[in-house]
Amino acid sequence: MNPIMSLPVLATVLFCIGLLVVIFKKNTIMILIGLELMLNSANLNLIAFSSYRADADGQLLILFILIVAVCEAAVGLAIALRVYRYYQTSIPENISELKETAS
Amino acid sequence: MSSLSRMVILLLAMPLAGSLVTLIIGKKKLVLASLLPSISAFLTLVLSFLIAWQSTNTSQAAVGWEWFTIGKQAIALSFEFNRLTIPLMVIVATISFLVHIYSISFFKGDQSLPRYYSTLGLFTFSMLGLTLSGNLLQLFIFWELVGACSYLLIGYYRQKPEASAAATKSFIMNKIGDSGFLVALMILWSLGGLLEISSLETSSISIEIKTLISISILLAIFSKSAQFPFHTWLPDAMEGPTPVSALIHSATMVAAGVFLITRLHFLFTPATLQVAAIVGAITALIGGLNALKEKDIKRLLAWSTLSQLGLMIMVAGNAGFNASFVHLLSHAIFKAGLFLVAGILIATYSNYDVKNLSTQKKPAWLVITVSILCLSLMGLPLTIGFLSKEFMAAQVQSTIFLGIFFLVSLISILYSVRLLAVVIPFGKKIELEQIGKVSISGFLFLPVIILAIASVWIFYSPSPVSAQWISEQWNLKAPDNIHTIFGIVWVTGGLLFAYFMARNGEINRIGRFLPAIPFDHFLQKIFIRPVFFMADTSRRFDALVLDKGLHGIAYINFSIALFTRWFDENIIDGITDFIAYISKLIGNLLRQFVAGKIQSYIWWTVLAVIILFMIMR
Repeated sequence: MNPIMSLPVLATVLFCIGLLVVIFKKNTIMILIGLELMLNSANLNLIAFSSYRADADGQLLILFILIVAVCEAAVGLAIALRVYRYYQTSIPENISELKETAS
Repeated sequence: MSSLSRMVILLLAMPLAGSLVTLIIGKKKLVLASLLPSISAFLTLVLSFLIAWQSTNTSQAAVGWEWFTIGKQAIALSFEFNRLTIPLMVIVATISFLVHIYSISFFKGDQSLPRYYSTLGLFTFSMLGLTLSGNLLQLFIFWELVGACSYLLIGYYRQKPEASAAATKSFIMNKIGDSGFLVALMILWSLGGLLEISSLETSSISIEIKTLISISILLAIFSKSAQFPFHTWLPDAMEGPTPVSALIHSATMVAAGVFLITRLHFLFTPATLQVAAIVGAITALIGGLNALKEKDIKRLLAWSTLSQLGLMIMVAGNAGFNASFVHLLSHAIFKAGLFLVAGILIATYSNYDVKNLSTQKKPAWLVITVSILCLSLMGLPLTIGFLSKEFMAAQVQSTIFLGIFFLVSLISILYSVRLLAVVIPFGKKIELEQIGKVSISGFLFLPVIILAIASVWIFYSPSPVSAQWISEQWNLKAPDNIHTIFGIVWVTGGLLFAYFMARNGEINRIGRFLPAIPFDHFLQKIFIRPVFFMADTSRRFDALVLDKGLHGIAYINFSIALFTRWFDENIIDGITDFIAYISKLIGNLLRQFVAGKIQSYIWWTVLAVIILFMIMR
């Protein structure tokens, strides 16, 4: 078996971990980390498939994606910070301004 | 607006304003309470003379305004001036004024003076309105108003139960008659709203309808003028203050019936007139005979008023309308005077009895005034009583009624002599006691003197036995010589007869031979008891049958209502509540998926994607 083909498996595992982190972690920072994890698992897939096809296009695309991801992370963190400043919490569940009071 | 209509408004407003002002300020200032109405009564008198002068000069017969409109029928507020309304207006204003000033002394210090004067003012207003009214509806309103004022004034002495009983009696008896007036108004309305008297006169109504209307009006006339079956209220009305008896129950209000029959004479058919003549004759006899028996001086005068009114109605029933109107005017003058004198006598000697009053010494002016007034009541020559009675006698054609007329005038001489005996001791020398002294207050003195002087013939015609202008003014057949001579002989003879009876002391004993007619007792048995019985029976019927039935129905209703409430609360509300409960359950279930937790959304999305994948494959 081509060692490169084990990379998608790693990517799948990473993706699942990221997804579980996004779903189950309470803190916004941790959710952002989970998102980052899922993004990078996709990047890993791109790397794996581009080297399998001996084509550099995919790896070039990753460079762009990384930059975009950094911007995304910065924006996400900034939003998280603003939310924390405003609501005095970074846990999304506790932000319930629009929710009707429990009857 | 002509000056005449302005004056009429002022004439009516003057006593009304006096009445209101007295009622408002009188409680605090008793002196003003009697002075202000007297001033307003004086102004009313002046105005009435002005109106009489003005309307005669300009020969303006009526003033009127539109009052209100029902459907297409406009009702006018109109006042007429003719040979009937003007003299009565002047007489009413004059006697009202005299009674006003008389009452100043009569009621000196009475605490309820404002009440008395305000009612008196209201009465003057209503009576003047009744006199001048040119519209039957308007006349009816004033007619009711004078009845109400009479009720209030008879019951003036509130603490006396007799007074309030008499007031109620007069009110109820008047109401019985007034229902007749109302019926007549309804008939006239159904004929196209013929309420204007002037238009009524020229309209052509069939004789049957005329009879119907006039019989109804006759009922009102009988009750107001206290004619037989209704006559018992008038003597009882003497429970009121004496000045009131002078103004209302002799001079003006009771005369309204005679005035009305004269005013509406064109409505009366021969059949109705026959009824009027018979009833008038009966009343004249009943009144005269009762006056012979009566001991109380005021009640004696009341019976004599009754008798005179009966005569007027009888003569009117013989088509001598204007003659009875003339007698109405002269009767108003001397009978008011007599009542005022009676008031002085009663107040001074605190005695009602004719016989007891005669044992006391009287001042000369009182003797002279009473003599003149009594002679006028007898109808002796040289008085206005003779003039008007002579005119009445000349109008009566039927021999029977003429006989009754002369009989009644003989009776009137007899009872007048009883009155005269109060001041002049006839016959045997009686020791006169000096108990009280007549207080010669100008206010008491003046009205009596004025009325006594006004009873002398000279102011009305130079000849003591005939008055040319009266017969011209009222289209009266002048009495021929036979009438005059017979009248003089009859009256003088009657007076001599009465004088001899009085000299023997017989005059107060005539009454004993007359049968007592307990008419009130009959009324009690025939009308009042059945009415009470019916009222009682219907009350019981109400209580036993109607009330029980109503209660039963109410009970059933209540039971049905209770059942309906139970059904509503349990069945209908139950169904609704159940549906609501189900909806709530479903809602609660569904809303768990959209609880606002971002992560659970992601969870469900992922799950959905996985499921989709599974299906797609």
